[in-house]
Amino acid sequence: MESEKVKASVVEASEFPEWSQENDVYAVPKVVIRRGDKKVEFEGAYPEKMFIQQVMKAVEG
Amino acid sequence: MPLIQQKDREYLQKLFTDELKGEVRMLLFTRLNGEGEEPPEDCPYCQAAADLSREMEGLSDKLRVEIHDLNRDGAEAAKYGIDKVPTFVILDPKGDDRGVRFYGLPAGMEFSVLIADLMDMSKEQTRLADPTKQTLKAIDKDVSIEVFVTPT
Repeated sequence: MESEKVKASVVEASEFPEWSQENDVYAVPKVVIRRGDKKVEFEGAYPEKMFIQQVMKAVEG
Repeated sequence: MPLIQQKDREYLQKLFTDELKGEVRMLLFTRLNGEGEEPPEDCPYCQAAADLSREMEGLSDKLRVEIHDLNRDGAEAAKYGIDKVPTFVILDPKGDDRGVRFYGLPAGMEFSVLIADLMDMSKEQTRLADPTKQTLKAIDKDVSIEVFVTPT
């Protein structure tokens, strides 16, 4: 919501097995961030500052 | 049998009365059974998503719910880029798509995620810290964030 450039989705992994498999989801929560070809991913619930760091890794990396 | 228990209904009605500011529209894209048809095998939660959405509409005058059948409302689905069901889209008080999607039936703890999204959207405000908001506003490239969860 804070950025027009960012799209955010929550996905019930058990209901979308193929989508989950494409993203190698074995443990939840798993966050997959994409910017163009660049992908940054992590498992677990990160605190806000760490979460945004991961987003910026995808944006700037 | 209702999906939302009576005491939860009362709690949510009060919560929405206190917290919802602008009107929000929640769109559900799903596949509906025809009369007497079996539920689609590849979408076991499609009907439950529709039932839940209808129950939610009664919770507040500021919450409008639209249920779209993917098969019949192709134009609407294309407008929001929907290719999977069930998918929830939350629109802001201006009716704009802010890129927020929920895929699947929001069961258990995930229901509170949907409720929180509706409240944030109705206020057009998130609970993020100011530095985070600054960082986000400066992003100039398209980014997608997918959070995979399971119901608890």
